[in-house]
Amino acid sequence: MELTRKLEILADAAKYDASCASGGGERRRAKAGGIGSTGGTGICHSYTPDGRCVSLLKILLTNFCIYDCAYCVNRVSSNVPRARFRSDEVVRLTLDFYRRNYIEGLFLSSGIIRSGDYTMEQMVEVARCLREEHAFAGYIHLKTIPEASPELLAAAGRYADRLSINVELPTATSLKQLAPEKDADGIKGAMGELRWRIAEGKEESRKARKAKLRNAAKYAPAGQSTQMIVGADATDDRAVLHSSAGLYQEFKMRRVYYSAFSPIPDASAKLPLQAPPLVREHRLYQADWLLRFYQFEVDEIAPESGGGMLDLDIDPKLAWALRHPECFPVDINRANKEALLLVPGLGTRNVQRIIRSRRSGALRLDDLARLRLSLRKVLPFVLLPDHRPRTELDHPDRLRAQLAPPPKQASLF
Amino acid sequence: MQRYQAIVDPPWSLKSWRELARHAWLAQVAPEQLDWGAGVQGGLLPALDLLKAPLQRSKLRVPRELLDLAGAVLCHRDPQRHALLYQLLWRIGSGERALLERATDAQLRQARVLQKAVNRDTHKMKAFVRFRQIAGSEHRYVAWFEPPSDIVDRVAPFFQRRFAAMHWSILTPYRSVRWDGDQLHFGSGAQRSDAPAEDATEAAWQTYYRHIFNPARTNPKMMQQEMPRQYWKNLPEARLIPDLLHASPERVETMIKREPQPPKRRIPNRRGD
Repeated sequence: MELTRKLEILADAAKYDASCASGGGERRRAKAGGIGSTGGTGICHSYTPDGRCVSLLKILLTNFCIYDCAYCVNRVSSNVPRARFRSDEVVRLTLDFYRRNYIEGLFLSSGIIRSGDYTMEQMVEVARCLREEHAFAGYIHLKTIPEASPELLAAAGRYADRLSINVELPTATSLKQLAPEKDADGIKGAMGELRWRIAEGKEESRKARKAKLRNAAKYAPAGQSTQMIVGADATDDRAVLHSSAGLYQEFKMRRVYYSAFSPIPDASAKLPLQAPPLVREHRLYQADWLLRFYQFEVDEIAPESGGGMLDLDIDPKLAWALRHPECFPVDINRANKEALLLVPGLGTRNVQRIIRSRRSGALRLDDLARLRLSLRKVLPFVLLPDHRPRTELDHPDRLRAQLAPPPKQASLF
Repeated sequence: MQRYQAIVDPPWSLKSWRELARHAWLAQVAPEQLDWGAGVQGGLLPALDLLKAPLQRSKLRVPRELLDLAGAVLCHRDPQRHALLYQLLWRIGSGERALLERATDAQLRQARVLQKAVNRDTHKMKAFVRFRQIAGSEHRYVAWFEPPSDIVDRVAPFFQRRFAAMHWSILTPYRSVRWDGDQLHFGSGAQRSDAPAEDATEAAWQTYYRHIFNPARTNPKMMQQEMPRQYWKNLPEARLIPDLLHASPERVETMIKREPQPPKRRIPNRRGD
């Protein structure tokens, strides 16, 4: 088969992986005779018309697969065209694209052929060849196969910046239903193994730095991440977020990606007919952000009383504030950082700017207006020398109606 | 009031601006006495060369952060940038030591807006430069790029760190830079026709772009926000965008309407069967 045809099929097969992150790891520059560097934050080299960034060459080694996961376009029972790259073809493509500055590196995933070990070995070989034979110092993300042997997991982390194992679905029950060959315990076991390997790698490279050794081998310096499909089963947002909170805590995940199940070619009869609105995925990301950076608990963001689903028309932080009018208004000139972070429309950066600015004199309404923020959203919740919210906070329902965008007629599908 | 004139050369140079600004401060030339840039003859009296102004004092201390800010702002093409930075320096030198903390100050905010624009342009240049290989020489690459601010000098070290083993040039309308494997060489502006007109790998890149796109999630607004149209003409993949968007609704419709199909091939026994 022609290389172009393989690229078509295996890029088509890879587009349902949400992650394209290429940051969060170590800083590297090109080695002598080599190419490639990584920085603190990744670079998005392009954007496709779906608004998603293209940072990595994201492809499957093969989309042949012995599993039959209902949500997956590559399941054994699907009639999509199949292809398989040779490992040197992937190496070549990665280098050709990288040299022209199209990408930050490679995100390699694969269908399972023959066995988990056989497949993982092929993927590790691509990473090894890039690193050892081509002195490639760009970013590598390997999708890890949970049932692969410990030796292969160890090798994968030596070459890759990031490893990921997909949790696939928010609950073990759903996994059993939709991905009968996958094993929830096996997945968690492998995540646990990555966790300790990453921690151990960190510890070793810390020791090596202390001993002034250079070129200390690191294990997956950008950590591990995972992906969860949303909307293919009946799990509500509350359960999804509980599941994520567990993954962050138990396995020190750098990110949990949410992928709103979207129509796929040759869909299985087991799937719901209607895809979830993309805004659900967006709200989950916002809620996830609140869990990680704003010290919120799942029960605060998605309380049981709310029916278990996040509001689609307003963001979760605003929804929380409207449920807790007693926490407002917050005094811009006196409140501490934690209290300022609770204000809808104030992000971490603006909170930092406010704290720095108010040291040299009290802030007034004009000052606030000079920061880039939505005054309409912020003002009902804050106190300034020349502004105090009137009775808005006494009527959260009315305030909600003011702040929520009017419902749209058209749906995305 | 005696007027003075200072010309930063090249206009994005931190070193040049810094020397002039320092001289102006030590000579007690106030911001309203100083014209930055050539041809801005504002007043009726002819302006003297700033360096002819006699020094009146000997000390100037400014925070490191002001130099970082200036380094970025100087790359902006706003004609007021040199003067704006000098105003900030004048205020800090005159006692407003905490000025840079005050994000809500109108003048500082203006400088931050310019800084932010330059940082964004810098980031986008790292992302959107597209090298083309020179036919027949495996390690030589040339890119044509049109940056919206004067950032070639600022971004070049990034490409040096990344593409150490390649020999590359980036050509822009106002300046060019070449890496020979050992040193960066800066030169004058160039033309699009000075760069190769094609590269065989672009076809593979377009294939990838076409197929990694998910037609079920179109969001052109988000795409344009992150990849502004001004960059499209130098991005080989951008010419595919209209067709991809046009064909999407029909592709999605087909996927949704399609009845689940029985597998066409025999499925081997699964584990546990």
